[in-house]
Amino acid sequence: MLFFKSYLLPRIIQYLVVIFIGTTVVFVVPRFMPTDPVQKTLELVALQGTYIDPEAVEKLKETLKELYGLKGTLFEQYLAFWKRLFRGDFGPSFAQFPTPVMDLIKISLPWTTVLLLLTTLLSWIIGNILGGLAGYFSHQRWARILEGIAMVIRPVPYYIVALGLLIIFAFAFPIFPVGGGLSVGREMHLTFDLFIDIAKHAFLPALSLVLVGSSVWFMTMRLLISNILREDYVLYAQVGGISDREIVFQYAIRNALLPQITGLALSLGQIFSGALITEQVFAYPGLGTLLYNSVSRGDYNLLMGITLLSIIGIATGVLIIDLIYPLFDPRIRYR
Amino acid sequence: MFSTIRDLIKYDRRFTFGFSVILIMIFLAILSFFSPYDPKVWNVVPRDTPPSIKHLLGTTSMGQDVFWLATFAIRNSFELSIIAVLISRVIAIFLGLITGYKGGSLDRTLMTINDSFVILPLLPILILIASVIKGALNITNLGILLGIFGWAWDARVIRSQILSLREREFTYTAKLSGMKTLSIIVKEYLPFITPLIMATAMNNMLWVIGMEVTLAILGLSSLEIPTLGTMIHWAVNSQSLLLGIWWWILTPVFICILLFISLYMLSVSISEFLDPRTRLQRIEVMKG
Amino acid sequence: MSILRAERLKAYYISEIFGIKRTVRAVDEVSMDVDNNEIFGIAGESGCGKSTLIKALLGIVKPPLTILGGEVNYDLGDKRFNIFSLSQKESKNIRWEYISYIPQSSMSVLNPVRRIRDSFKSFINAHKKMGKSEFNSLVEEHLNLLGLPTEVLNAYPHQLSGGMRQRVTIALATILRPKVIFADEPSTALDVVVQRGVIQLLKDIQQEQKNTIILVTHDMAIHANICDRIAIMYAGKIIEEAKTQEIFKHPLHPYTKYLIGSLPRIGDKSYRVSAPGSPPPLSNLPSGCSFHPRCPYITERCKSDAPSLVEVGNNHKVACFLASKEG
Repeated sequence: MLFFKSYLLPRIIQYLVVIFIGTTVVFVVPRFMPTDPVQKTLELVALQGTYIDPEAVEKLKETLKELYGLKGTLFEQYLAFWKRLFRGDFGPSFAQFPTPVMDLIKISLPWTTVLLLLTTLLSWIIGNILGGLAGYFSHQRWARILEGIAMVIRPVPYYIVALGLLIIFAFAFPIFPVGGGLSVGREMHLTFDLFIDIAKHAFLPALSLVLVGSSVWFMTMRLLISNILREDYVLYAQVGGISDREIVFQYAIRNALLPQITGLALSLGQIFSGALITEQVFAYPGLGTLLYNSVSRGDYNLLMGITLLSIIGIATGVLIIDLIYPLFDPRIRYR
Repeated sequence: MFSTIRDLIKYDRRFTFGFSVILIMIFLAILSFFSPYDPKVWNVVPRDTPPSIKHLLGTTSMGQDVFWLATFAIRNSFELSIIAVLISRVIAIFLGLITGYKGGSLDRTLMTINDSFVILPLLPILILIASVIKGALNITNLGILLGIFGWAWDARVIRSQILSLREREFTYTAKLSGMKTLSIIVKEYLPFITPLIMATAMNNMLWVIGMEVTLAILGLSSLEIPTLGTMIHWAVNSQSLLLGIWWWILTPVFICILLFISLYMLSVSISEFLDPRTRLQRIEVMKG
Repeated sequence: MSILRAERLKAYYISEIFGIKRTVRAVDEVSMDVDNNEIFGIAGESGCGKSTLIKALLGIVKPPLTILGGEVNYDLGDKRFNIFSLSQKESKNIRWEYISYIPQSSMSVLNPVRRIRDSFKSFINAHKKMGKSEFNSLVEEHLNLLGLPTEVLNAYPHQLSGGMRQRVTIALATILRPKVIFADEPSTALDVVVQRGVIQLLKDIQQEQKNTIILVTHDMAIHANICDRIAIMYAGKIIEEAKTQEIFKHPLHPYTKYLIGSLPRIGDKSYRVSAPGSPPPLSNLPSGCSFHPRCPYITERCKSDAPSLVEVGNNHKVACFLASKEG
């Protein structure tokens, strides 16, 4: 019980606070927009040339106001906003009226989720293991070369790495497709060919994310390991004649994993942002491209929907990682 | 301080690299004041010409000289990041000092809010904000915007440093001698954490310029103002790759990569220099 | 019979930070002779080089620590060697089975994310392969012998108190019945009651296994309690060595005299006097005899020549010009 109170409760509170702050920000920002979305839609409709009598226009205005959540005072709007959030209703898309935003997101979501999960897991594992080995054998040549490579890749923004890969592997040496998630015109039948096609399209974006991600984890792991190597229990294990292999894995990496897990939770937001950017470069049909389209078309509902969903998704991911952490750290598990 | 820089240059190759690249960049930025062309005007020179003596890095599809455009881009990116970094430093230091020193429920409340900003995925939020106030995002406003959002991580770092300082003996001595809280913070702690602030500032600069690039590529900042991001935006949107105008897109990309790597190396070497434990490691490598 | 013999051992810390060279003469021409089946104490203040001496005797030499000269010869019955001539692999094999180490910060030498049982497994398997049941019986028997509850095996280090962790570390260091055990300040961070338990534990182990314990501590009370012989260390050198009784009753070196004189005695209410000044930094030692700036009996010779450790009868060695002329 004590465990739940001291560990779990603050994290659940944190979770709720994040969602609260995020949702409020998303609510407040568009309210500063200079243009009135209702007016805009009416103009769009009017452009189509049909004549609508003034009464119908008024009714349309009211319906639109309600749809866009602009009915009533600011406070009433805020409450209504929350209510719809719980129903999962983000309203209709402006650019693709009247398709609900949620539907658009549902199509793109699986692409992003799979890409994100796979690459995050891969880069975390690769980065940590390589970083651990390089940290332990830091005087060896291969370790220093690896560190040099990671040091060069790590600070470069996701966009540039993605762009670079695109230029090299899709333009200069056209091995991989230039963009998209599937070859044009292919249908979604569950065949092996389909998987190959998806994999080919997903390879460059995935590679881009894994490259940057691994370098980040590599650099932090290496630093952690070099500090852990000065810890008494490592020095003692070395005196005791325990093999290097066992020390690297059972002593060094296992202890360094703990702050790395926390670090994973904290950087989830950044990793997500990076995935979005990478998707845009490759026109990969995930949330990133959807986001880009919503910006260029001024589709604020869609933009808000994606932002809100991202906030909730990331916050939930962080909470899950926080819940898994005690499995790795006996000091939390047993008080 | 100068002797420190001199020592770092002599013994840490990363610092040398980073420092010299930054110096070159600053030089280029200053050069922009002498540019013969106004960066906001199009079609002042023949379009799409490859690098030559007259136009060192070629020209763009909109009739601008790439080299001089780049000098403006560097200068604006620097200006932008200085504004943003200054604002976020002030907020981060303020928060870090107060929560680190006071502790208790004030600490927990502020930290919960702080951590929310660490967890929140800033990109979608910034995109949302930027698309709403699209027109007004010049260098200053963008700087302020990024400054308002970039303090969370560093506030944490400063806070943990203050926490450890608080437990040290000199704090107790100062307190027992009757020094007021504010006095202790300003006179004793601030000099201690100044180098830490420098290291985090450089990291923050990285983030700011990266964010600017991302937002600009999406078309969300003031696109007539030449920055590294807007240059890439125009280059990509004008299909420079397909048309083979490689100098236009490679210049900002290359400058970006160089700038980021050098900033990162600077921040890594400074923070390693400060960390007494890694200092010992270096001694071990240079054994007599 | 001599089990460990160090001859003119020189171990310095040599470092270069950004162009500034620094040499710390932690162990400066130390020679010692330790017998089998005895508890040998090394006493001295903090910063006199005791811990470095242990590391050098064990052969755990990592930069910036450098061995500049001397030999450390072990005679363990079937094995005789100079510890510095062993390869990495050989010295790894020697440890735990023959030579063991109880470090200064015993409280943090256990891997925090693994149970005690697994730590034991690691250390044992590195030297002797054994099956599960053999392992269990060995460990449980050993713990019983040392008066430790076997439940300890299933615990994580942070669940045990400091004293318990210390005793577990001692158990860990002695499980393979090594011939020589080095103990560096084994009880310093503990409260007095637990201290007694730990020291008693060491004594019991020695009596049962009939091996050698080399005990390093600044606490003279511990030396008085269990050591057979004591060596006093000052500024990287051994300045006096004799049987425990001798040192306490007839200290010869001026420093030792101050040391013994500063210990409180029951019933004696006179003022305690300690040596004036403080020990010199090992990176900047005075010329000649390192103690001369603080010595009340100083002669001209003391300032220029360093006295060597000579025997003055009754197995009592001292490094002092004045003392070696007397007695």
